[in-house]
Amino acid sequence: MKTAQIQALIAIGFLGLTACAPAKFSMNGLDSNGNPTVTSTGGPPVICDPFDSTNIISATSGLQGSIYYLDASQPRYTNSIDYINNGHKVNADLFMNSVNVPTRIFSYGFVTDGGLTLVDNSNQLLVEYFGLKLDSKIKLGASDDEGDYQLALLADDGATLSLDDGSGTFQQIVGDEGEHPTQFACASHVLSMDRQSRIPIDLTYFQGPRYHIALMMLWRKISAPQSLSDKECGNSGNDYFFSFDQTTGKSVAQPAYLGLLMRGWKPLSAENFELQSGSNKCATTH
Amino acid sequence: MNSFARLLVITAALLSSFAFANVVGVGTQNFNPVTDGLDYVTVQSSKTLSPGNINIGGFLNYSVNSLPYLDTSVQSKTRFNDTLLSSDLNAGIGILRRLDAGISFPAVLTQSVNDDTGVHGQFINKGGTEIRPNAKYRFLGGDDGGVAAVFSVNFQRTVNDPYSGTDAGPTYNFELVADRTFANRITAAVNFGYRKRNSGTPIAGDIIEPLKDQYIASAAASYLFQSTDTKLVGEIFGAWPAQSQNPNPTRSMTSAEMLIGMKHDFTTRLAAHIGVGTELIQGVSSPDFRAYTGLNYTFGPVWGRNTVTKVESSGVAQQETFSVGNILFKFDSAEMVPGFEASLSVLVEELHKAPFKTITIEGHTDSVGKPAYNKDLSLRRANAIRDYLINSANIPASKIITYGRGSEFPIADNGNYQGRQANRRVEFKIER
Repeated sequence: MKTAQIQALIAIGFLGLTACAPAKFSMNGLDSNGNPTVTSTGGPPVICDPFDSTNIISATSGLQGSIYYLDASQPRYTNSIDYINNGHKVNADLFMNSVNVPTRIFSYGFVTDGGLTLVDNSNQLLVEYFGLKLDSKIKLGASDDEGDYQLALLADDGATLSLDDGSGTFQQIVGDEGEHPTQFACASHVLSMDRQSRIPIDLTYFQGPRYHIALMMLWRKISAPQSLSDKECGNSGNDYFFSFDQTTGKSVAQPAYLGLLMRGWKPLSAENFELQSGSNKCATTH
Repeated sequence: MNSFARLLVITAALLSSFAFANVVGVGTQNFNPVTDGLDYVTVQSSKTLSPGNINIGGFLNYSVNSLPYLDTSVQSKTRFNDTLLSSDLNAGIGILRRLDAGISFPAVLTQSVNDDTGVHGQFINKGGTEIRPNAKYRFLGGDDGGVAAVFSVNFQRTVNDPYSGTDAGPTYNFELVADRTFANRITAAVNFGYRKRNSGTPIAGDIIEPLKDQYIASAAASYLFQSTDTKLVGEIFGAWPAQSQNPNPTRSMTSAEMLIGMKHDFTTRLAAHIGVGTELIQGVSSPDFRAYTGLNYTFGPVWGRNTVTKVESSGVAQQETFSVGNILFKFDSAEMVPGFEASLSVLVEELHKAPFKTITIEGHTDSVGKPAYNKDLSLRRANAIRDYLINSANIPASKIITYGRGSEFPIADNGNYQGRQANRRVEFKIER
């Protein structure tokens, strides 16, 4: 075969090989047609605990909630209630194992079970200026003693906690609104718990400017003459209760938080939150 | 140190204070072979293809862990594993003496994704990722180095590329290139440039924001083993943001990679590449490990008649120098090809135009082959031309001097086919 013929064959092969179809990319949330994939059966997409996916949870435990965001024309509210009342509700079901998010960076947003990451209507990642509303029933865990308990929130930014007073009406027992660093807010209300107690709760929270985030729900068992005041009630600081290690991506407890634990405070765990049987969709998608 | 060497040193010093970069592909691919096939793998040299010369390149590139991924539970990378096998078919052509152009067609061929539980990106359809034309203009330089400008454009073909976004326009890449050859076997080059991106809106639901404008830079060095016609190539390349933007949650916005490889010339037309690489910074689309191989096939010139041409200045009074490539001879032989008379007609005309004292015929080869053989071959070729001038052009034998110079007097870099092509020549020096 002559050189000219070889060159012609190479040129033809080159043109043929370059005429391939375009590639298509996906952040594992799109199917081959580019449509969002939702692995939950029916209903809106499911967002499983964006802060903790390590716990094995049951279909009867955890909290169920909604996410709210603001559009560009809305004021940047500084109360979680304003986000719930005036923000746009995301068409997705949020499930959390517990409310145990120490101070940390939150820059990745909320990811659905289909792999999509929530954006607002300006296509911005939902990592700031969003609100959460979480509902569940609290109960004693296997190792918890019956008795009187005091609840508290450790939050950055604002949060409120309300309890059903038994009549179907929710009474706010912790109000910690406003933009602030991680702040410890204590209830001035004693909650009597026995093995049969199932107390409906309503927790609201908002995240203002990025990136620090914190939301923990704690309680402690108290004795009758014990004061409801704790020296940390009302104290705050980005590094006061936890410092965030950028290298390891972990929150590191500081003396103030360790002191809370020593005085009997502890975060509620997944077994302290009860949902209606079978309603936690993340129990099957995990 | 001359001004050119100073320029290289200063540029290298500047680059060392930044992350390196030469990422001129779409967001999902950092390995982008040059289209001239002359010197390095992904880093540009200042040399351009000679007019009419065509290079066709085909590369395969295997990369491990280059896709975006994250684990939402710990907000850090997991042991998510992926591999991509990509191809890059490209072609380049010399247009003018200082200008060439090329085009690249990268594609994803195969993909494997393991530990598929976290949020990550991957190709759901394999195929062409972009079309990337380029042009290079060498505005300064000579045989041992120069400065050039390279312009290339990325026309996106990847659907839903998160680094470009929806409805993205072309990305324009401007690069300045400087290079230098030392001792005829060591070369070094630096590239520095700017990527003007026209990114679209974020893909709905994607965690990655499209990239904004970037700085890109790279550096390369090579060492030529003349005895085996093999070149050792080292490169470092990457990119970093030129504009502030929200951080990419999956990888650093700054990427840097290095690779080391070999280029071996099988024949004057065919060269093969093979090498490995790794990331220096875990940036956008940089892999834990990379292996590549590729071929360059060249032919031409496809236009232009290679006749005896006058060298612009011989540097010697009363002396005119002419040169012609070795198209006068059959491969590895002193036998002249049919039609060689036409190629020599310019020389014969010059000899008859005015009286001359002597004509010196010097045969030269490239560096391929043993020096003694090359010297003998170049002498036999010079003698073949002497015989023609005596017998057919009536030039007295007493006025003709012949030399076989072998590869001792190169006029171009023997490290690439084009330089070797230039070195394979016959020079005529007419003394009046």
